[in-house]
Order: sequence, then structure tokens, then C-alpha cells
Amino acid sequence: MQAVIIGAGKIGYNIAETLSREGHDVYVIEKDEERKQVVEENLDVQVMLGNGADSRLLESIDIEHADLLIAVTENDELNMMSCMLAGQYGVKKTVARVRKPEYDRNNKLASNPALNIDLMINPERVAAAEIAKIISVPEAVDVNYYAKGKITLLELQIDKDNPSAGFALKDLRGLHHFLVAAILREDTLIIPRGDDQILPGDRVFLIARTDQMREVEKVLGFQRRVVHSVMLVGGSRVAFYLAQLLEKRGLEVKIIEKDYKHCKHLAGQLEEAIILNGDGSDIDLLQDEGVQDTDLFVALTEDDKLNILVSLMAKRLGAKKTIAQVRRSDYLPLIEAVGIDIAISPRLLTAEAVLRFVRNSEFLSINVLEQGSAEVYEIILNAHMRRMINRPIKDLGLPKGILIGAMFRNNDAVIPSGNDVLMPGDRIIIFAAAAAVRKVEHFLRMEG
Amino acid sequence: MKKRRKGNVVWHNIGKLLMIVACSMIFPLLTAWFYGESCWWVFLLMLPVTLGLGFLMMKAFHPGRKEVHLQVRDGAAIVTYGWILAALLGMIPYLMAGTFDNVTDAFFEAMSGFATVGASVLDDIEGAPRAILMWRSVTHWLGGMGIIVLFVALLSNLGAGAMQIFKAEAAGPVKDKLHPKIADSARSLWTLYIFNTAITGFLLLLCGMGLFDAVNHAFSIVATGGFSTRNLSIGAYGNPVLEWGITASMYMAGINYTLLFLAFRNCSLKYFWRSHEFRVYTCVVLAAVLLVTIDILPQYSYDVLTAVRHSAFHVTSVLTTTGFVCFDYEQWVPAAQVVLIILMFSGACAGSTTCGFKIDRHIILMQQARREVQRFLHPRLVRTLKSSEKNLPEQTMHSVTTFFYLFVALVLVSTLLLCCMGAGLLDALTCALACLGGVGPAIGAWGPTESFSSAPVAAKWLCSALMLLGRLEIYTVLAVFWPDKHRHIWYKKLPVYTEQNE
Repeated sequence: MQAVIIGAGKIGYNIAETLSREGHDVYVIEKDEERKQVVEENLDVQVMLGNGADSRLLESIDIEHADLLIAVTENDELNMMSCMLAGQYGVKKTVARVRKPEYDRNNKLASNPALNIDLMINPERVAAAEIAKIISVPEAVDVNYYAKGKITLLELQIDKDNPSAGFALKDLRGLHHFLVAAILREDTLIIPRGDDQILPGDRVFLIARTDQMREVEKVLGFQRRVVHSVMLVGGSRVAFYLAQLLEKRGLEVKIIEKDYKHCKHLAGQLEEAIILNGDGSDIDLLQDEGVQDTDLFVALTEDDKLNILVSLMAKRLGAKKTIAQVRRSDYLPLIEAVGIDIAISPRLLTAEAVLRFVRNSEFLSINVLEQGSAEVYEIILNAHMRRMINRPIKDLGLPKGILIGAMFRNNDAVIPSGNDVLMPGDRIIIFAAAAAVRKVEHFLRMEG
Repeated sequence: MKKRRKGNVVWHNIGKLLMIVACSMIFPLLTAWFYGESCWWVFLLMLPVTLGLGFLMMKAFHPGRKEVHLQVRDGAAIVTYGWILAALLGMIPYLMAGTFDNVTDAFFEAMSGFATVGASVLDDIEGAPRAILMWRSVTHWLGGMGIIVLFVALLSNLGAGAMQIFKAEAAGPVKDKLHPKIADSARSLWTLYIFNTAITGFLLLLCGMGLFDAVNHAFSIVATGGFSTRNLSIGAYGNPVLEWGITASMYMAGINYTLLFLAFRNCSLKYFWRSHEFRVYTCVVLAAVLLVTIDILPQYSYDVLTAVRHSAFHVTSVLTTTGFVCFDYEQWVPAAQVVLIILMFSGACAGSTTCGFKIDRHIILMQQARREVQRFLHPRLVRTLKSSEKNLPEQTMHSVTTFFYLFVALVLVSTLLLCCMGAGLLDALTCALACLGGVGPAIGAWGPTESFSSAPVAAKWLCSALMLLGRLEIYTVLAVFWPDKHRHIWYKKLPVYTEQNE
């Protein structure tokens, strides 16, 4: 596949890296000379210096034969124009990063065929949605929903004093079916068997029906907490989108922002949120505003270091859960090590979302867990996948590291046992450890 | 370059305004002619006299060919003096026809008409000539949407300056334009107003009113005035269907005209539900009706239908500052009367023809109160006040709180003055509220079944002043009469407009 990426910022770089690693021909168009050099030195791609909406430049890289154009510069208008231009050259799929809320919520604009944008993505909105998703299950490190929300996958951190620590999986019994899909132990992902024990320090990937998850968590010693109050530091766009989402759920939202004008702007856009004009790194202010009682603390300023600092401070002051926005992806593994519960990178999330979109369309969704240690696929089985259908799951001969987490038939979700039989039309959730990721597609295409 | 005194834009425009008032005398003239009443000569004389006076003023103070920039203070002056002059000319027919024998009563009646208050000093309404009754209703009708709005729609060539006088007269804390051009907005408003009048009149005819009464009451209702053609107001008809019809029309008249305009233009009701103010207005009406009904149920021996009808009628009548009466509400238990007094403080939607404090201002004040309480807990709080999903500048909030202060201060000072003139406490308080709020009938000595004729002369002048203040929303009038040595809009120094002669 030939892909053109316009803008080699964090998102563009990330997508270029992944696509190039997967064996595609990647062209990157970047206007900044220094940045061009960085990309050239690190990635196996062709970098062109110039404007992404320059038709001569695009023609010079044979745009007519491109399958994909991803416009992710800082400039919304340029991104949209590039996609429009790509449409004239017959590029099959286009993705544009559009950050201004006036544009991405503008139905007349987004759906305009002349713009030729297949996916309009707003990194800040993606990040806000991700945080909001985590807030609904605050005890989890990560939450993902599949099969129209009927199936949940939770990533849970097992602490020292967790009552389930030390038990073998086969001894964990609850009222409902569930599946421990994997255990992440000291950076290695284990697909566990019945005799495997849960140890303190593990991260457990748990799959169950969404309506039963509350009960299932109890088996592992978790009690579903309800988040009432959320404190956000930094009134960035992510904070705005997040506050909007949380307001709708009726949560108590506080936003601390340094810049008064920005505060006014937020106050004008939001209904109920309490907007405070002050320095988020001011301990007195945090204490006065009750950081010790907040269920969730999210640091969303523009400055990574400040985010890490205030999150640590909030954790120390007693915030129950802390999330920090971190733009530099190389910081990510470090952050969760120092005690901040979750690190969110809008750019990484966006890159993921774009990759999900450009990959095989048979997959309804692909999720990358724990920075690539596992992936989850959601697919609909068809009659051609003869290897998969009409026989019990235990006889499928699934490769090591791949398991079927759930299936969804006639609008009902089931956690399958070895005796269940898959049929065409079923929607299934496949969990694959990093090592087995490549085998998934291959396995699906295998004949009988 | 030669400086030359070249007329006065204020008096020039007031001249035009008077011409509009003169034209409206055609209604009572036609009535007198139709019913063959002896007082036809009054209007046959007054019409050309007023027209001529207006024309003379317009010509004499003509500011010249040059386009004149209208200042804010000019706008306030045009509106205030225009209204006072209109009332002065409007009282002459009463005197000439012999309805009143003194200037005080005649001016009170005329001001009450133009300011759509509906407080009357006419004891025997049914005994007055129909032409005079029609003139009362016409003053209501002109004052309801506003003489100035009509003037802007028809005669003004002020361009951008028109917004100044439009704002000075329009009711409510936030003023919307319906069209890019102010004259078009004014025209739309008046078209809608006339349409509304027609619908109301038709509804009244359907409910069984006679033609003359229907026209008069339609004028009175859409303007949320309160003059009736019967001594007992609506109670005289004893017609439950009519009472419900009038309740519905009064409720309609309390709605923001911008909303009505949007709804009519797009033929959709969704604008009503989207408007926060409209929702609050409806809730206030429903809650007040419920409260009053519960209070008065025992008095009606649990006749729920009658109780609901009477309470709905009077709640809308007081809330929209109309002031019609279908039953002597002074016989109600005190709790129900207090609800009505509170409603006198409330008023209906901003941008409607109602007077009074306006729901929109209450919404803003409540938001402000909530914000201050929150700020007490969170000293660094930043919050923007909103009105119908629009962010309001801080300026609006200051203007609203000050308006509240002035409103309350005026009510209290007037209460004191009225008490000094010998009125009872309740009489004085509700009278001040009813006049400033534009309701009309108060509670007590000047209640629903009595006229204001028993009030002392000084009290009548005070009430007339309150009516003007209330209708023009205080600021406009105060701005003109404020002791400010920099202002030169009154007689001391006429502003000089120059024209360059090359």
C-alpha cells in the first residue's frame, strides 16, 4: 500500500513509523527542514519538503497511485484542503485531523462530499473520550467496550492486599461467566491456564458481559467505585471536551486554569462546571478546593512536566485516582512507574485511531493494550472463514497466544466455553498477545 | 467654514412622533362617526391640530441635509420627552369631551393608557362616549409595542442612530435585532403585533364578545394594558369561556416577540421550548396558578373549575401586567393575594409588551446569587452568566442589579410618599408596585373594583411619573433628568449642529 502523510508532527511520525514497519510505502510531506531531517534519519520513509496542498509536489510523489492520505498538520484548513485535493487525484481513503470544534461538529462541512474526508479526527476529543471511558470504571487501569458496549474488557491492577492474590484462576468462582484473558507480569504477557496463580503486582485483563462486570469484579476483590467529583488542572481543549462529557453525566467538575481569559472562555461554554482561576501547582489552592476528596484528578496542561508534578502532588494529597496528559510518548512507561495511575497521550491515541481506521476493514475494531503488549480485535465471522465456524472452540486449534474472549449472537453477548460452536454472522472478540498478533489475520483466512 | 444653528434632532424627531399619535386619532374619530356620538368634533379638531403641531416641530427643528449622528442622550431625550408630550396631547380629548374636568385626572388616564398600565380614574366607564373608550384603548395599543418602535418602522431616517432610541424604549435587559436593519426589525415587530391583535380580536369574537368590546379588549390585551369598556372589567360578562380565552391571549402577549417572530417565520414551536426564559415563564404561571388555587379552594367550596379559572385569569393578568379583573380578588385569603403581589414584582418575558421587572432579569439575578454563593466557597471561581444560551457580558449583570436597586428604591420611596399623602400601608405599597410595574389595579383602596379617582391629586401625579418610569424601564427617564452638568439636552443649551458651507 502507498500512503502519504502530511505533517510529521508527533501523530504523523507515529503513524509513519507503524505503517512503514508493517511494510507499506510511506511518503511524508513536511514543511519544516529540521523536522524533515529527524524523520529521514529515524524512519524508512521518503520525506518531501513542502506544502501538503501543493498539487505539483503531490504529483511528484505519484499521488494518483496512493491508497491513503493522512493530513495531520497543525493547520485544520490545510488538512481539509489536502484531503480535497487527494479526492481529485482519486486517493481511496483520506484522514484529516481537525481540531477546531466549529469544524468537527459542523455536519454540513464534515459530510460534504467535496471535502472528501473519510475520517475527521480530533485528538483532543479522542483523548477526552478515552478519559471519560476510564472514569466510568475508576478502579480499572484501562477499559474497553466491544459488541455495541455489551462486552467489557478491564485491565485491573492487583495490589498486595488484594484478597484474590495467591489464588489459582480455576478457584475463582463467581455467579457469572468471565474470562481472565491475560496477565501482565513484570512486562511479560501471560495467557494463563486454570492452574496459573494471580500474584500481587499483576495486571489482569478481564473480559465479561458489561451488565455483569460489576459482580465479576468482586470475584477479584474489586468494588465498583462511583466517581462523583473530578478535578481538572489546565483548561485545554481536552479539559473542555472532558468537562462537557462529564457534565452530561451529572458529575461535579472543577477546572483550575491559570489564564483568566481562558477561564472566561470555558465558563461561557460550560454549564455547571466550577471554573477556578489559579495555578494548578499551588498546593494551598488544591487543598482549599478539596483535592483530598476528589475521586479523580486529571492534569491536562500543555506542559508534560507540570502534569506529572501536579498529578504526583494530588496523589500525595489524597486524590483517589490520577491521570496525567503526556505528549511525549517516551515518557509514558515511566509515568505509571512513579505512581500516577494512568498516562494519556492524545497524539498516541489519535495515531491508534487512525491506524485502526486504515487497517483491514473486516475488523470492526482493533484495540492496542498496554503500549502494544496485546491487541484485541472485534470481527464478524463470515462463511468463508471455514477454519473458525461450525465446530466447538476447543477443537479450533487456535495458535498459542490467541483466544476468543466473547461472542455476540442475536444481540446477546456470551463469554464462550470450549464447547460453544461459532457460526457465520457471529461477532467475536479475539484477544491476541503481541507475539501472536501477526497470526490472527492468517488464521482467519485459513481454509478448513 | 461657517457655523450655523441648524435645528435640533430631538425636537425634530418628537415632531414626527406626534404625527403618528395624531394619525391614530382616526380610530376614535371613526368610532364616533359610526355610533353617531356627539363628541366626534373633539377628534376631528384634535387630529389636524396634533398633526399640524408635529409637522411644524419637524420643520422648525429640521437638522438640515447633513446626516445627523444621534447620540445616546439624544435617544433618551426623544423617547422620554416624546412619551410625555404624547400623554399631554392624549389627555386633551378627555378634557374636551368632558370626561374629566381637571388636568390631573386627564393626564393620569392618558399616561396610564400610553404606559399600558391600565389604572383608571374613570368611575363610570360605561357612561363615557364610545369614542373616548376607543381612544383609551388606542393609547394602550400604541404604547404596547411602543410609539418609538412604530416611529422607527415608519418615519425614521436615523439609520444606525435608530438603535439608540429603539434600545431606550424596548423592554428587557438584552435587546435583540430581528433583522440587520433596525427599521426592518421594527416593521417586523409591528406586523407581528398587528397580526397578534387580529388573532386576539377574532378569539374574543368567538368567545362571544360584541364587535366594539372585542376590538377594544384586543387592543388592551396585546398591549398588556388593562383598560376595559366595562365598569366591572371582564367580570361584567360572566362568561367562563371568554375568561379562558382572555387568559390564553394574555399569556400569549407575555411571550418575547423575538421568539414569536422566529416561531412564525419558521413555522415551528421548537423555539419556545428552547428558550430558557419561556420555560421559566410557563413554570412560573403554572406554579402560581397551582399555589393560588390551593389557597382559595376552601373559599370556592371546592369548586375546582371555578377556582382554577379565577386563579389562572388573575395570575396571568398580574404576571403579564395587564390588570384585567374577572373577580374581586381582595376577597381571597391573604396567602393568595401575596402571591399576586409577588407576581407584580415579576413581569413576563423580556421583549414582550409587558412592563415590570421581567423574568429574564430574575433569571440573571438568580444566576448571580448562585454565583456569589459559590464564590464564597470557591474564591477564585470564574463563571459567566447566560441568558437563553447566550453568554452575557458582566455589564449586563451590573445593569440588572442596579435596575433591581432602582426598582425597589422607587417602590419604597413612593410608598413613603403615598403614605404621607394619607394612604394606608398596603394601599400605598401595592399602588406603587402596580404603577411602576404597569399592572394597574392594586390591592386595598385602589383595588380591582375601585378606580384611582379617590386618590389625592399629588398621588395621581406621582403615579403618572411611576408609570412613565416603569414603561421606559427607569434608566431612560433617569438619564434625561439626572443632574449632570455635561448634559445639554434640555432647554439650557440646545445642541448646535453645524453644516459645512464651502
